[in-house]
Amino acid sequence: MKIEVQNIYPLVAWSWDMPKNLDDPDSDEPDNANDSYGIRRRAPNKNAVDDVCGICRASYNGTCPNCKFPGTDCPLVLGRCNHNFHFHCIYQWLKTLTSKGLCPMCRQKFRLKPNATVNTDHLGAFKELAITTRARLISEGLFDEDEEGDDDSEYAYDNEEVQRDNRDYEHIWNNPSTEYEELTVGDMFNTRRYIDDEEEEDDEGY
Amino acid sequence: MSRIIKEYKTIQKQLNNNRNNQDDEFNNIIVSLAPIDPDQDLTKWEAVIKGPQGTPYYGFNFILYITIPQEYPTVPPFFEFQPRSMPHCNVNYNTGEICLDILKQDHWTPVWNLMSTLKAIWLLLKDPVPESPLNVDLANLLRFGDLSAYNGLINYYLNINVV
Repeated sequence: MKIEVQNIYPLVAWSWDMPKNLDDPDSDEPDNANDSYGIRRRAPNKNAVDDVCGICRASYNGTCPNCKFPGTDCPLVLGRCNHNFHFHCIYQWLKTLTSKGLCPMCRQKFRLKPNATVNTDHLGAFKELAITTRARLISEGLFDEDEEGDDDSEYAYDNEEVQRDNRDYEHIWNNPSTEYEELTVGDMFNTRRYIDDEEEEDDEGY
Repeated sequence: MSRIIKEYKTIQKQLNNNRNNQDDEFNNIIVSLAPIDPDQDLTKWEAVIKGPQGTPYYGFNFILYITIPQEYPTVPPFFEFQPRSMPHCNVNYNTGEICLDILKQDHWTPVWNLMSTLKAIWLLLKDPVPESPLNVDLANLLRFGDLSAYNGLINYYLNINVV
């Protein structure tokens, strides 16, 4: 018998790569890692299909209100607090000064989840946002120095200090020995404190 | 704006379901919540809520006007009672302005939606906060614990409107 293949219709499904057990990133084991064709296959992530972005209420796999095409055009970011949003939605929220860098769902400082593949492309954007928002807060006189205790209350923030802070911020950011997840948007309030802590620890060590 | 369309659909569904479901605590407190002109304009809404049981407001319905700003949900929606309809210590009686922290930009988060905000306002009717009053007379009566005068004054105002 001879079979002639006339048409092939490939069918592809996708979902964001999210840890299955959101509380424990280490448990991220694919159900059926390799099938007989050697393709790494992962069961569709139920979270990514059913859950919606808390800001726009559209599915994780859908788009934010301003985008037409889902996927890399309108990416998803995972928060350390396990609240996830479309990049555009959370970015717009954090850009407003009144957000104070907090997660809209739980009001903790919004940080990107560490070791999450989908987050890696956005670290730079969030870093930049943290720096500019911090500078704007200071210039508007809205900078909340109580945020991290009294350590900073002695400082009068002028432009030079802002610049120095930003440089410090850059330094930590670019220093590979520093865990990057410690330094996302929410940390715009305590950059200096973070450095001070590090130095103090060093001093004690010697 | 696309979020408000989504909310509109969800709200319609929820209100329909509520009529058949007696379990929800908030069941039937919302008489209606819809855009005034759904075909033309989704930025102006009107809501009707019932006065909570166990308060002087019980047995009355109250109208709220809602304005959705362009930047919603990054900025909060604007809720106000129909002017001269709500005697409550956190509501300005003449204008209908409501004093509630989540309606202020500083405390608003995009996680709130029209339905949950409306429920928060309903809860404010149950639990007035005399510490931040917009109606000083009622707040003073409440602060000094003169409940019969407080309830009496509310009843008086509510019944003016009925006549």
